[in-house]
Amino acid sequence: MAEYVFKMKKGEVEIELSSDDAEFVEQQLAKWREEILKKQG
Amino acid sequence: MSIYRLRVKCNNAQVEVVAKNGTILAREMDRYLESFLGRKISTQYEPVQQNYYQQQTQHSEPRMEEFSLNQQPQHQEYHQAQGNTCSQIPALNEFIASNKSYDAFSEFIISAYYMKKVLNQEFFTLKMLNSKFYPATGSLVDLSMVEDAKNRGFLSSWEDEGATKYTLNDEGETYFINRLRG
Repeated sequence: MAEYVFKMKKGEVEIELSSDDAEFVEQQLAKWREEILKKQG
Repeated sequence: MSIYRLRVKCNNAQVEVVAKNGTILAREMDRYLESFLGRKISTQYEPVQQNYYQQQTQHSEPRMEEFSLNQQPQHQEYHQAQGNTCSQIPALNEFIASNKSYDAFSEFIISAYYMKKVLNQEFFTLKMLNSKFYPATGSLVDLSMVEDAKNRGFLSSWEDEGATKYTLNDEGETYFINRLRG
């Protein structure tokens, strides 16, 4: 089963999400992307 | 069954959360995202079946979170969330924010009170405390801070099964109530 990994880094802090639940990863990435774009907007 | 893993690194410290429940991890991730963005984000999650925090109080060692310095966690235990929502028990960062923290030491005492009175844990190890303290504050409690608390009479400690265990004693509780309680 595939494992999906998403890593985000800001300064010294690095967070890494990994899961074999593709739907969960997809949902979380979509949410994070939306929140980050809100910030930029 | 799917596995969900969240790893947070800062300098040479690392916190890793492993769960069988994506909702728990999503909440943790949101906390870090809020920290990254510098603002609150609002997400409605379905309540998990049972209370992870409540479950954790029933064990002498944390079952879902493992914390290590300069090394990978020695072992990871998968822990299915079992309980009601987490809303009944505040997260440590919320508990710290609701009290009067002046510096890292006061945050430490508030956290020791949290372990004892909110989570009902009779003791904590430095590892157990940091597994909560680091995600809540972005910093670590080190031995010098622990020694300071002991020297000021706020903390009792003893050796058990090769580990040093601590608890906030009566003096520490009095200090919290008189000086730090919000």
